[in-house]
Amino acid sequence: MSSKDSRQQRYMDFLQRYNRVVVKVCYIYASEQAPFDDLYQEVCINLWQGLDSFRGESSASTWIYRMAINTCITWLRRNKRHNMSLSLESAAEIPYTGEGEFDTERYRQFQLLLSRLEPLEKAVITLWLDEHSYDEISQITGLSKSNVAVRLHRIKEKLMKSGKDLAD
Amino acid sequence: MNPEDIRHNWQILNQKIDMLDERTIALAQELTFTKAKTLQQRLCSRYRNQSLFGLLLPVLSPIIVWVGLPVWVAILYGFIGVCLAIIHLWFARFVDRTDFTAMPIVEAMAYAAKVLKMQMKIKRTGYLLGAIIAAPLLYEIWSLGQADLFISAVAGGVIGGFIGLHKQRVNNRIARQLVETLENDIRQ
Repeated sequence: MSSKDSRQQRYMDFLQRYNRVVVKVCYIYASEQAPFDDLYQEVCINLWQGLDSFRGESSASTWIYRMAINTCITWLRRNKRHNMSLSLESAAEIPYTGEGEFDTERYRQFQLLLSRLEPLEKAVITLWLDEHSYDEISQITGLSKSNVAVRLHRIKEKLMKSGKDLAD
Repeated sequence: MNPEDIRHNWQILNQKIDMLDERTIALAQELTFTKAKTLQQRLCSRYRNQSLFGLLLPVLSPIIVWVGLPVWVAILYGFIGVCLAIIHLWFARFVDRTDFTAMPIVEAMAYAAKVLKMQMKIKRTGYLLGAIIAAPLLYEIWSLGQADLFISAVAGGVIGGFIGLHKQRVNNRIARQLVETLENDIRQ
């Protein structure tokens, strides 16, 4: 197998394993001005370009989170369109086939609340909701553990307050 | 929205993500063949190419002597060209060497701001070096008493200045695209 083939194989193996992380991060940061496909493509390009530089100093999961979030944040800033509202139509397009109740209106509100968070806040809440420890969140974001705790508290307050405003 | 709502809706989001997962892998596979450059690589290429212009100055410096100007002006002209080339190459290497996408997020933001600030410094240094060579060059040309040569030199300087300013604007735009400071986000 040529080195290019083995690199492609390594890339695809990596992506098969962590694609869900990439998709989730891009989905969280996507908006009308920052289409999901564009963000996803940019992350994949960065992953392809940066794969050789991953030396295992951090876990692969940590590395991929950092790369995906940094790429999305940079993309948003590059286009200087810090959109505050998610495309609610596209959020509802993907059908829900899981078990349990699904309140469409409530879900739309949730998406809207998420979209209103600042880029770094999105990163912190995504990692926390994905059940990463404060240590892991700190490693990925570069914030201190106490800073993570403070920010998380503020984000939750913000979500609850905004949720109440929306309901009213 | 209470914490239970948030967690419940997050689970729903996770299930929607599962559906996107399959769709996107095919897209990712196509990208292994892409020759697309990241913004970081584009910025790096631009500064590497611009260093070649700096290296042109020592090559052209014999012309300065040929038109009758002192040798020290030609040496200064060539030396400043080499300095500019070194600065541009160093900055290109700085941008290229750092894999900011894999840094912790806060560090990546700080790196981004640093790149922009360094670019500003390089711009100011360029103006300073330009002034250091332009002043004696124009003075010596004026001293020769050849009006046509002086006018040509001024015209060349103005045109070169415009080209340089345009390139600088493009570089700045790419750097700003790549790097916007998120200090507000960090400070929140």
